Amino acid sequence: MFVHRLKGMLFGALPLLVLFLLWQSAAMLLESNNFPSVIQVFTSLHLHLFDGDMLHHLLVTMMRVTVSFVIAMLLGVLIGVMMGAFARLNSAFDSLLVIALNIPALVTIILCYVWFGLVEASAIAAVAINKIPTVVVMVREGARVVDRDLLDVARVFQVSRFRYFFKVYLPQLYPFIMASARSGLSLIWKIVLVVELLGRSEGVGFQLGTFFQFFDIASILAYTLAFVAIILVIEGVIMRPLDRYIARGGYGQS
Amino acid sequence: MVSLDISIQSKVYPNSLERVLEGLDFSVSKGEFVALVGPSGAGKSTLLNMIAGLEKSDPGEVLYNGSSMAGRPPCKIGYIFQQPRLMPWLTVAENLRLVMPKVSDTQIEAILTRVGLSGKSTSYSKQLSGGMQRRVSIARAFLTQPELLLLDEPFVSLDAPNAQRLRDLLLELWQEHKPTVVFVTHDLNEAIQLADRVLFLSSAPGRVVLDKVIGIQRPRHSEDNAFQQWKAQMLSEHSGLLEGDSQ
Repeated sequence: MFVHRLKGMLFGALPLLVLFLLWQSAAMLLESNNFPSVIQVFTSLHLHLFDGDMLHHLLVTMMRVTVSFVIAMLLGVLIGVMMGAFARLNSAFDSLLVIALNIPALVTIILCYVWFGLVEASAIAAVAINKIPTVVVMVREGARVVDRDLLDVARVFQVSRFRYFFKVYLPQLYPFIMASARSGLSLIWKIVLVVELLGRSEGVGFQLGTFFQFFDIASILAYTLAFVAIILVIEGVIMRPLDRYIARGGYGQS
Repeated sequence: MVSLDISIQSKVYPNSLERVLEGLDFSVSKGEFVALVGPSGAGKSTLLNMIAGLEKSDPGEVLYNGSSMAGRPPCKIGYIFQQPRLMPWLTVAENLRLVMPKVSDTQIEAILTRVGLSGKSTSYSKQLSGGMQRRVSIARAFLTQPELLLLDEPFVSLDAPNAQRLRDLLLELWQEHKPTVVFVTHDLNEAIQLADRVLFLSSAPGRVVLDKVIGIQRPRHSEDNAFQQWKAQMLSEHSGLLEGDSQ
């Protein structure tokens, strides 16, 4: 069992090892300051982590990601469920949704900063506004294909509204909510970095901007690696267990 | 227990001109087991859904103990659907608790033992066979001790021995609790075996073309003489009955 799992992990890490090898070889061949080697990046990572303030900036960015993620998911699910369940509401707001989906993230960020000032709330709002429409679209599709037969079971057996929503209705949306959460996380942290680059004095985005001014590519890549590592941990510790919970009983699997 | 009085002038689905039911009148006494037999498209499931409150009905069309319903039916209903309709993300016990939250583990185990599913309370529906899932849906319907039990061809697509076992189980549970039962089927043998009375529906738009009391002692078996004679006599008197013809 242990050997089997070890083999699986090694197999999964193989592409990453190959990538690092290719990267290292290319960097050694080019010998350019703009293309640091893997070793230089990891050295920089070690330096920022233990002698610099990387942890502080990572925490600030993670806080922004978490808050805007939670707001976007809550509002997106709520609006998506309403639009999926009520056809009139959907037709009334559909064009607005298309517009919201296509407004560039940068425009929202600039407008939020201009209208509400260079404050934390503007940053969070800008990120959430960018993500909400995509959550709405995914959840709306889920709400449209909810199994009416199962809802009828709850109605005929006079199940309470609370249990109807949480035990019968919402579980049917979980795969859609999960898909939007997963895509949301990757989108949100990218937008958060832009928000920080443009108008905050802390966070990974702000740091990347600073390193860019000094052409410190090794530090830029070190911060990127650190953040990607955090996202991978979130994937392994939160997303995958949630996936397993949702798929209990084989639901959502063919 | 509950009695039913059905009087449907006409039932048309929204955005459709086709009449599903028309001039349909019948009554069901408290604790009576009535089977509805009719061809496909006779509106049998629509009728059951109207009784269950899942399908809209006009005031006076469905009366429970002589009173019309406003919103929800005013009695506890158990419904065994054509498909078991278990929530796939809930275990067997959780499916049962969904319809009766305050039920104890002992009660759950007792009803599961009754339907031959002892020790399956933690299984998910995908881990059960089709017959087992139907047993869970029977357990779910009886757990609430319904005053009115509705069944929509619940044993269709099951193999014969399994279907027979479930019919026996249904009869056993009905005789214990005596809910009023409306059982929809297209299988005349099944109707004769189970019901006190059989109502034959016409083809669409559905209406009652024959209302017949089955005066045979239970238990009834399709190979028994009395069973065969009753069936043969009725079919000879009313040829074309199963196709929805009243002649």
